[in-house]
Amino acid sequence: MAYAQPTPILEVRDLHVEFDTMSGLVQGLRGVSFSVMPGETLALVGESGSGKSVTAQAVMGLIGLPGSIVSGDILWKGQSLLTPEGQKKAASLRGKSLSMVFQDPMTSLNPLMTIGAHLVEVLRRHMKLSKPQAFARGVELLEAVGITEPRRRMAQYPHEFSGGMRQRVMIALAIACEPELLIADEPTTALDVTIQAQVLDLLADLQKSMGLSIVLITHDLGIVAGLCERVAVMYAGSIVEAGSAATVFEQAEHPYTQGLIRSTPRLDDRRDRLVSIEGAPPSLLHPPKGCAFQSRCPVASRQCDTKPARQETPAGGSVSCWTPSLPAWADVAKTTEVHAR
Amino acid sequence: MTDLSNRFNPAQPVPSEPPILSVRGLCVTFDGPREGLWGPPKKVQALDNITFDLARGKTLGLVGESGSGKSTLGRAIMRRLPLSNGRVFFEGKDITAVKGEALRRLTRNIQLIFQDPYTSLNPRMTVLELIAEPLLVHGLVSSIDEARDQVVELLRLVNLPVETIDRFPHSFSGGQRQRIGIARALALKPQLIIADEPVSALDVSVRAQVVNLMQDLQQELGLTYVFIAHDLSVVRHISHDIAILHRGHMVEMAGRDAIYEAPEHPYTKVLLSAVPEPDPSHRRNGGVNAPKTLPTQTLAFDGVGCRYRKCCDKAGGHCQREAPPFAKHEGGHWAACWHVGMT
Repeated sequence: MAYAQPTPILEVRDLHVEFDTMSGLVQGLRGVSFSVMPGETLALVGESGSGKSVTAQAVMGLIGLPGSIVSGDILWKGQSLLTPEGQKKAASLRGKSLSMVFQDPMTSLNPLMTIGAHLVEVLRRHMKLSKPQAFARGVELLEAVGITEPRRRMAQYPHEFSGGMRQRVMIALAIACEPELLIADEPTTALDVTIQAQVLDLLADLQKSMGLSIVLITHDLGIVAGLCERVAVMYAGSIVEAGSAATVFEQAEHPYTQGLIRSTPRLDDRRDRLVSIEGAPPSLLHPPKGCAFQSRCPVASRQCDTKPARQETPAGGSVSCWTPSLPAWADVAKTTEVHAR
Repeated sequence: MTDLSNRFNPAQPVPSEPPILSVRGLCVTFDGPREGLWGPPKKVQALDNITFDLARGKTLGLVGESGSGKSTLGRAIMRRLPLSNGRVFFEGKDITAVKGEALRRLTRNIQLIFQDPYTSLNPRMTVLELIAEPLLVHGLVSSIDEARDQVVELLRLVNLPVETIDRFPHSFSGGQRQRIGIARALALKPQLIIADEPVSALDVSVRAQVVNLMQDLQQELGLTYVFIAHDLSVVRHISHDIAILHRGHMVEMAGRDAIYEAPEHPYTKVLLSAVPEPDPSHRRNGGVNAPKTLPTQTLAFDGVGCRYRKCCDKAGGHCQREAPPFAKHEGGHWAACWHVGMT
């Protein structure tokens, strides 16, 4: 790879996004910062409404009215994509060097176009290939994502594909222009577990063979553990904890992360009860002044009325909490024990 | 009624109470696409020869991928679908043929919890109206206001604040909406609840709340559940028994720990290996540990032999010729596979 120097391929700095709705100003993102190095897989984990998809949309330039980026910056290899020149550059990057796989493969393909037409369109537009070249490349791509009989499949319509196959087509489209960064927004949520496993394996394969950087957006910690090197946990529009997958899973610092890990069902867990985080995330219409997790946190104190600043952790990650690494849930110790096996 | 459940086993005490739900040889067929423009519709066998018992106060976890027939089975038990064969017994009574008023009365005892709390509640009805509706429909109250006390009681039961009674669904979070759905299902004091993927649409942290609530309600009210799920991760905690469906067939059924710790059918093993583990040491290394599943749902079935054989490593000659029966093995473990040791 030409860029061996440690410039992140994508860097997001203190991004704030607001949505001006009928009921008031919704603060979708409240200061999100992260970076992705070349060839790295970063997971953005969070519940619905935590802002993980808004982050992806912001990077892809898909925030439309009533939403707007109010402050912060998005940098591609060190250059801002939000300045006027940057926006021009961004338009040429998106779909080519920077591409995205959406959650729902059932609605993201045009039902009136054949699979081949989808691929040929993208390849001709971005790679400036001739029609026959584009068709040949399309066949190769379908083969690369594990679709059998690609030549015949090119002439078929989306309705003739199953969910998993459609998601493969989406991935083929996303990698068609040899992107450097792929944003996958819940790529397997609509799929069966077995198909999910295949799609994840496909992503892992592609990453290895193409040196792709991936931002994987998900609510499922299980997926994260198997695929990603780094994890950023989002809650109520900000990143509350970030670090390498190994340290986050083994030694979560933030009470929310600890809670999320212990409430993820495990196959080897013989207990009769699932453990849960009581309550619900706060509304981003009137976000709390202090720590957003305060109302659900078992170890919250007076200190948490003011917003905790981001601080580095000994393991090289970062966390926004006044009392990091404090075991917040009585049974976490037990969970990690099961964990270590 | 053929008794398939009890082979002589001195260690196993004779159950003192008959099962609340017994299903025997249940089949459901749908009309598929027509052959040609005017030809007869092809039959699609959605459920084939399903047999099981469910004891009162217990939970059966019903697991299968999309298209496996798990929701169809739920609806067939509720008699919402015509059965093409087989019988369903509820509290010892044959309910296969009931209709009209008797069927209406039956639905009081068997209620459904839906998957998606965002679309299954009418957005124009308040919580009071939503929960009182079943009471009104079944003539247990004559007006919404008469139901208020009962609705308050139900809200307490599902841990929703009573002051939310006049609010509309949009002001609730997903987990709270699912609680409304549960309260609605409980309004008629049913014996059996069929929960069709009740937590699949919910966030992880909220999922546990709803599952735990269902467990508490089971303890408190002696409910029996059929808990439908699309993967094996969430059902372990709530189920007493787990049944695995594959393309309309039950391939394995056993006590829950037996399913997780000693799965017998190859498909169950595939389902278990497909669940992503929240543990970074279980890294995906692209294809090496991938489950072999690709064609399960799309593969055409030619009518003979084991339906799973084309995705199965162990498939041999016998599997080509004859479909394995769903038979009872050691330790009350049911499986449909020639490779599981018969006892």
